[in-house]
Amino acid sequence: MKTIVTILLFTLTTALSAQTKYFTRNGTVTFFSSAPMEDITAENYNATSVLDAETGAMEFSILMKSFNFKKALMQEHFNENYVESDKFPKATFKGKVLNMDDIDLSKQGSYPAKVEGEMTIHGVTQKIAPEGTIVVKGEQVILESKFIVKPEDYKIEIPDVVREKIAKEIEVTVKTDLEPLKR
Amino acid sequence: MKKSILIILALALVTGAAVGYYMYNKPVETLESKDATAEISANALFSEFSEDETKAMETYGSKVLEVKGSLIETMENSDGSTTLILDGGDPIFGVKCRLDPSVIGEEIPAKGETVRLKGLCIGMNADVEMNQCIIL
Repeated sequence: MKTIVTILLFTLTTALSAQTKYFTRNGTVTFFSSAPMEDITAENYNATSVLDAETGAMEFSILMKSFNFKKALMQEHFNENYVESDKFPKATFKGKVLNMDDIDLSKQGSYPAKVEGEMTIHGVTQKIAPEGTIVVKGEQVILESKFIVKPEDYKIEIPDVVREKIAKEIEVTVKTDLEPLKR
Repeated sequence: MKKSILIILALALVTGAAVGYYMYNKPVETLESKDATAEISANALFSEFSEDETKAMETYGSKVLEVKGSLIETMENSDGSTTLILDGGDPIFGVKCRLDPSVIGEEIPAKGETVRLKGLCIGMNADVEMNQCIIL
């Protein structure tokens, strides 16, 4: 009898805690480089992301090769010469929404979010603290953020020849619609 | 004599510049004319990646694959493109295939149907990911 109760309680708590997790596998991450010679945009529509509403813990993960460029040559240079996608296939962010207590996911609205965590690109991990917005829309939780990434911080070397074409500061935009993880 | 050399030189220069400009601006090619290097089921592909990601990457990474599997989810991405999830035998994750938006007129199968597609296998990110996919 006791075991049955324990099992029941266990299932119940896992079921409840599962509801506090929000998930997506088609989040949007784009980056934009503005340089005197050229503007470059690349888009990734398959970011995987999880948010634990209870603790504010947040994770993002993308494959570098799912960034789509307009020009084939740029895509090739990005993967082969700059981020070395075969060696470092993923970019990840692991962090936390610091002001999760101020955000009511049961109430529709737009909330400013303070996020802190570690981002890994090109095998190099850096602490970042981007600001963002959490929009609650029905069951959906939308995360939006815009921040700057400096290639040199992640040991991404840009040769002098193309220095005029690639910005020193790359603007990254994140927009993901998370849905409750139903399990 | 001198004049003709000059003309030839000028022509070569213009052609060179044109070819260079064309190569530089060439858009990313679709996989329409590319043949798949291997045929595999979504289930087998997912288990190979789950068992040994490094080995699976060596075999399938950056290769054009023909994958067949049961469609478990269809998602519309923020740019209007479509991503399909094929059953990989795992309760949550599977083979995630983004259809190439420049290939138009494709009919999206219904959930539960078997889908056969070709695409570029780019690695594992919880799901096994395929890019530039075309439904066959």
